[in-house]
Amino acid sequence: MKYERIIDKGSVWVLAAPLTVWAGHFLLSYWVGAVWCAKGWGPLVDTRIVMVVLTLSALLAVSLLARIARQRYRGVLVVDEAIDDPTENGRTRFMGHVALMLSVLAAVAIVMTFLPTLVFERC
Amino acid sequence: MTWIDRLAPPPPPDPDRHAAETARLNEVWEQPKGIARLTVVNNSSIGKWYLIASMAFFTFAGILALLIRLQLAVPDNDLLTARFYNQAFTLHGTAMMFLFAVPIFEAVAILMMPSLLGTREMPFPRLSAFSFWCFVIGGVFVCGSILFDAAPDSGWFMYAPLSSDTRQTGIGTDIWLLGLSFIEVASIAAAVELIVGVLKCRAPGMRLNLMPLYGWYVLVVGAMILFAFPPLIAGDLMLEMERAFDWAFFDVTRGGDPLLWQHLFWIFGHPEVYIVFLPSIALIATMLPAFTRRGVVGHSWIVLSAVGVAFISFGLWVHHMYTTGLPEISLAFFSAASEAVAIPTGIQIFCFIATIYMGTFVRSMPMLFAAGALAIFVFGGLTGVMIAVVPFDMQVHDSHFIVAHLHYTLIGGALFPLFAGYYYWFPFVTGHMLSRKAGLWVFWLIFGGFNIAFLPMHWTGIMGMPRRVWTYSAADGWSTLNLVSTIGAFGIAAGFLILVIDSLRPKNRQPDCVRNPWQAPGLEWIDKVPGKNYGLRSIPLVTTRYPLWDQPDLQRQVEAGEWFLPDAPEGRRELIVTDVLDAEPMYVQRVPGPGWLPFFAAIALSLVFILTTWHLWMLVIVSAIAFVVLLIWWLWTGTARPPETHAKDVGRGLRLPVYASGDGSAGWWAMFITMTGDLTAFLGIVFAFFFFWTVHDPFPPVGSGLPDTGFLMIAAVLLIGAWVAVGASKRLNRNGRVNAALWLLVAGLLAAMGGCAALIWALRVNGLDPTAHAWDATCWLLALWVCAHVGIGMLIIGYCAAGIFWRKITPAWDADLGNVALYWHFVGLSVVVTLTLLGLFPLLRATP
Repeated sequence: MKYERIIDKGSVWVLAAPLTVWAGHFLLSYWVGAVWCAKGWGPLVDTRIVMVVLTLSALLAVSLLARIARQRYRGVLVVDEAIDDPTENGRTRFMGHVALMLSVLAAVAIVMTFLPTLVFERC
Repeated sequence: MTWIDRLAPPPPPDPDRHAAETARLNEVWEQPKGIARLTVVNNSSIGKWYLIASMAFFTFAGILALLIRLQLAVPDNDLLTARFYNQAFTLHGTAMMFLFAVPIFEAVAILMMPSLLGTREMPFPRLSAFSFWCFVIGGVFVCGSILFDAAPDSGWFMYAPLSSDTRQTGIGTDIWLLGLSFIEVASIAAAVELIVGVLKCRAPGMRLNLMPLYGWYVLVVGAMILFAFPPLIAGDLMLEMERAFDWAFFDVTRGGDPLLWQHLFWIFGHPEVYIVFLPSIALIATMLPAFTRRGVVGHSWIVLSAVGVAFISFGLWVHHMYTTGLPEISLAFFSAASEAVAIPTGIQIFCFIATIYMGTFVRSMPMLFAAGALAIFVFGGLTGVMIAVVPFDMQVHDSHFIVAHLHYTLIGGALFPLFAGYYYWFPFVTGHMLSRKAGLWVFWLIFGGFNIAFLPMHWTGIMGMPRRVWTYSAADGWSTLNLVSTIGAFGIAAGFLILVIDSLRPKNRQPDCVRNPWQAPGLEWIDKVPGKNYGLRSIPLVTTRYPLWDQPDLQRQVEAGEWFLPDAPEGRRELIVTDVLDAEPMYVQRVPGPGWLPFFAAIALSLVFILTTWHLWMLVIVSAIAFVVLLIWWLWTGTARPPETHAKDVGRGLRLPVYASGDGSAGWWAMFITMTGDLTAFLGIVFAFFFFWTVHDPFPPVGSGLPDTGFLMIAAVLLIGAWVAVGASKRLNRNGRVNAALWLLVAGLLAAMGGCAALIWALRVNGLDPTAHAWDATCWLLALWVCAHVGIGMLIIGYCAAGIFWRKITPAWDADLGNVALYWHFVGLSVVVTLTLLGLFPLLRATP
């Protein structure tokens, strides 16, 4: 008996992906800032371009993930929907629902991480 | 047509068959008596012991807290010496975090989870037992040190350079580092067990969207442990190497940096707070339906918030380091993340409030504690948002304001929900209810005492009282508030004492608890309380989120043995392993019964750590060999033995294999999860490498020795060769070419040995000296890490070769080889990273 791998068939990875993008964006922002300051590479304002590119690509990635999540969820977003039917379809829609909302959370968190860049001009 | 549609109808009732089946189940799952109780591995017993042990450490740490409060009750006090006071607060924090907060999560999960998920046992019972014994021995070792005036005394986060200087801090620091590393290993073992339990051992039909919220939280927290604890283990390793062998990691004069410790500690330390908090919130989420008579509002929102908190909590660590002089832009990123984590944390709290609002609220002791938890936690959460703001934190950093904040979050977020759960599940474990009258006293004494103790600390903190201060002068103006705090602390103690008395008092005259006393919907209440050793009479098909409410006949069906595994004809303990997504039954896992091996293996491993504290190297080596021998014995006799048959009937016409290998098996998942945690520890060392790169310009510094390129290349060829050989051996064996597989393993073994030697020689030949500079020390640590893993890899290659030779591993039964190949993928990855850092990274230095 051969079972399909959860990566291929399941929707589990979509659950972890949006916030992984956030984590990548966060760490890169931190590293760029820290290395920039530690190595004394020019004024911090120059990093803004790097940060804008980072943030826009992260948001793009999250929106693509949100699209996948939306397709899995296949519905109009209802705030409180149980999605507890005992079928494969129910499970897929449930995971899509969670992943869709996680994408929103990830997008908000990415924007929040970006905000300090607008304020700081030196290390 | 799914597998559910193909199930046969249940067999007609037959009292004789029922009695015979029950008798067999009883016999198979019977608990040993007398001294042999130490051999117990059953989750219900191990869970109970785990719970009692962590409560004992909680009591111990609580007594230390009372001593601390007595010392601070009046100004210029000398009740405790400064030396003892340092040990007391260090051990208080250490024991509460490492010996109570995390273990109690594991205790509750091991105890409850099989029942909640509708199965009989955890997937690796002996691992739970091993984890428990490691925890108890390690905990007693660390706590007992205070009786010999040898307890750790540099604070529960052990900051270097105080802790790295052996003249300033004595053996207590070594006890902390080694004892806790040992307990962390136990925690990771338990986390592996719990993750596999949630993913692979749910009742058939319990799809991910039907899984109880508790399962989600355990999954999330298990994963967090896996990513949070290893960086601390890497840090512990560096600090102990510096203390024991003078390697230069934290010494500024030799290119080290004490701030590295703070990073590694808090990459662990902040997620730790959520590792403590989420499982307790999970208890509230699990209890809430019973007391609101409806399902939790926003089930998927709570899953979202658990996953969200888990991720974002890893982006907060620097908010413990706001005053260390890091660039302000860096601090701002962490400030932003610290504010962002409030969003998912808030979502679950609002879901709970919405559930109470939309349901029919039933007043009860558990809900009283849950309400207290919400009140205190929200308060602590709000001060958390305050100190997430850098300028405010600069004012109150290291003051009693922080002490107040962290106790509000931890006691509100973790302890009160645990007490709620204690009242809720006490009848599940013992068959008796706790007294409501005493409970009211317990609640109000603890709730009142807590606020009296910790609310004033916000003021003393703002007035400038530093945390951990031994004593203070009356002129500081903190005297009254401190006295109030001390009185409150004794209120908490009185409440806890009543709880202990109420729990321990004989309840023989009290009527037995009714079945499902809270009319709860969860599967754990399906049976009479306390349950049988074997748990469920038969493993049900679960098709709803709240089975006892929505599958009305389920209780009768389960008890009549109408579902799966109603019998144990082969005399083996069994559970059904299901698939991750839809809980479709995959195979029957035979789990081991009682045995001495986990107990003795834990003792041997604990001796390795304990004896290392005193540098008794010969005895350490003897203990390590004993541990390895016991481990091999354990694995050889008890895991992945070729079964007597390919498949068996589990009831309702369902026929399942009794053996699995590769990514279908629970063992493969355990290996994958363990190695993910292990890889994280390796990444902690890689983090140190790049951290030093930001500190030094250039890195490696000019004039320092570089690893020899030629030997590194030899190491690369041999180690990658060993990696390939193991993978190829697995394929050859599966294709029936057993001898070729065997010889390829032997070749892999030799290549691995040669590769390690070449790697070590590459460093030695160019005179890299780990005591000279952080560069040399980091290179050596990377090389040693890889060699240690290759060494373990060699051991398990040898194990598999022996397995093929003695026909334990055959082309059809090759689970061991699958797991070993997976292990080597991870080793291969760390080999590639290490060789890149040692060989290629220094080349960058040449280009300006």
